[in-house]
Amino acid sequence: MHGFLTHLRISLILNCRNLQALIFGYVVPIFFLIALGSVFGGPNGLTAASMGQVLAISTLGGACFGMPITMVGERERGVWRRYRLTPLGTGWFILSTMIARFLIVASAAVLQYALAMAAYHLPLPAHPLDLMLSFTLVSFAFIGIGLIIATVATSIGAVQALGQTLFLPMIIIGGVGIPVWNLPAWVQPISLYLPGRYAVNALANSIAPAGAFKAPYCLAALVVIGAAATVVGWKLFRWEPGQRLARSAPLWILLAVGTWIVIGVIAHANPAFVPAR
Amino acid sequence: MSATLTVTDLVKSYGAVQAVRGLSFTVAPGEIFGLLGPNGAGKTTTIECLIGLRDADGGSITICGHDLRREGDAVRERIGVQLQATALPERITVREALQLFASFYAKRADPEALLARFSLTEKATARFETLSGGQKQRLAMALAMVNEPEVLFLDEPTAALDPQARRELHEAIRGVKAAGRSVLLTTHYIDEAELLCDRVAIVDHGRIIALDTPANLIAGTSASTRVAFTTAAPLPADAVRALEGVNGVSADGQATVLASAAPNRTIIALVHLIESSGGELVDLQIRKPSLEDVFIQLTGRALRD
Repeated sequence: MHGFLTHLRISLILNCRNLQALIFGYVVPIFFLIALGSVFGGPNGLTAASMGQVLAISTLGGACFGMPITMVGERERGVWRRYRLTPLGTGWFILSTMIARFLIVASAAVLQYALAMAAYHLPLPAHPLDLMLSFTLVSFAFIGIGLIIATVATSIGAVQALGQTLFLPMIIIGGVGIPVWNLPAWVQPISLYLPGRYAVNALANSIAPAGAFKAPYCLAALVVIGAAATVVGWKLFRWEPGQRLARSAPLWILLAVGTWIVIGVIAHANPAFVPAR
Repeated sequence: MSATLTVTDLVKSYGAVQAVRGLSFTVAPGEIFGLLGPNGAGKTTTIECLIGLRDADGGSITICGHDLRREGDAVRERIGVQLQATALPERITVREALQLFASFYAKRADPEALLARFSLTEKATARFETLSGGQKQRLAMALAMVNEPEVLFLDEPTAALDPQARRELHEAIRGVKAAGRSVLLTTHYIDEAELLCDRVAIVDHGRIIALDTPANLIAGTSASTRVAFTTAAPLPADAVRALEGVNGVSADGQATVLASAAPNRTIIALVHLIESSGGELVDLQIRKPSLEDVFIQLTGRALRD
């Protein structure tokens, strides 16, 4: 088996052996479902918009905390240093790590959806293929951001600090935890500059009759955010414990965050691009 | 026969500190080549440059006919590496680790055969976090052999191992040589270098200060064989100094160390002296000159100073 596939397989096995990872990967997302289901689940059950939020929160958590914590922990213990001595290239290691995380968050999402159907009368997605596409793009964007966190953070504590600086704004004012229309009017435009808004809208549209392609700008935004973050994470990737970041790191990080700003500015200038949710 | 490893004028600095200052040497196929020197001599930096973990500031490195800088992937396919400390995911099992690393290479040894060869079969399903230090080192060695490398790099392979584990690892290294592969190892253990290495480069302050077979290096030193003995009662100092072959004496109570140019005759004379004076020989040890003496003669310091 190719090294990439074996690394992917071993990464998944190791995740299953880690109780903490299982709790954060599967139990916490169920809590998110229960919490949002209790708060936003109306008499007819959980809406597509709320389920979009649930899926976005748990994907964001897995991408911005779960993956970087594993990567930084291994790097700082010298595991990645040993990998570096093998002929498998950096790109293959990054790709297998990202796909492993995608499969983990996807399995949690399937679990969440099934529970939401059972407990909150959520219907089957109106557009299953759209939902798969949207979820893949949301994961791509968030896991790309997680890759940057993993390359920048020097410790697990730093991962948590960096993760929270992205997670909390997206939850509170980015439309991921609190629906945008519940926010003060002056706060709502800010959410256009955060990836979570586009993630929730793409997921919710895929579950609702509208379909993901009702708002193609959201899908495009997720692709751009994910691509920029992945490129930056790959460029800044560090194999060695304690290895210094490249001098050009601030510029690369600015490039990744710059895509958020550009996407927000374009949406701000074109009401047709503003996500409905 | 062309060299498996050729290092020419290797230079590496960390800021103002020159860790490696123009090292040049070759390693032949089937040769165990040792870099011996005190901590901080530049051994680990050298090996890290050779395996591609650090970029050298100058010089060239050719491994199995491939230039490290231009053909890094081809080099990595052909080398095996055991770092001073090998870290793996804590929950990975021994068998999984071997399967994982084998999958990274085009040429792969059978993981099950490696388990048997490094006495890890019983630990095949044990997680890395549960292994003892010796078992971890054996696994690290097995991982280094997973691609049947043409050159094996071992950085202080037996550091912090108990004597039994050291002996096992020495056997494994001899096995690598017997298979016709080259080994470059760094060590600060004199006995390890003397026992294992076909040739030794003594490194100090980033430079090679001597390079030859251990026997030739030792033969080239002017150090004498040391005869250390302890008697029940002190012997007359003048009589001891006058023993045949003796060219130096140091005494501490009943314990005496003689430097001798003719140890056989010195010992016979010593036994006669003890018997004639009615004394009793409590302990007797002979120590031939070692690479430590070579290092002391070349630098004026002991290896562990």
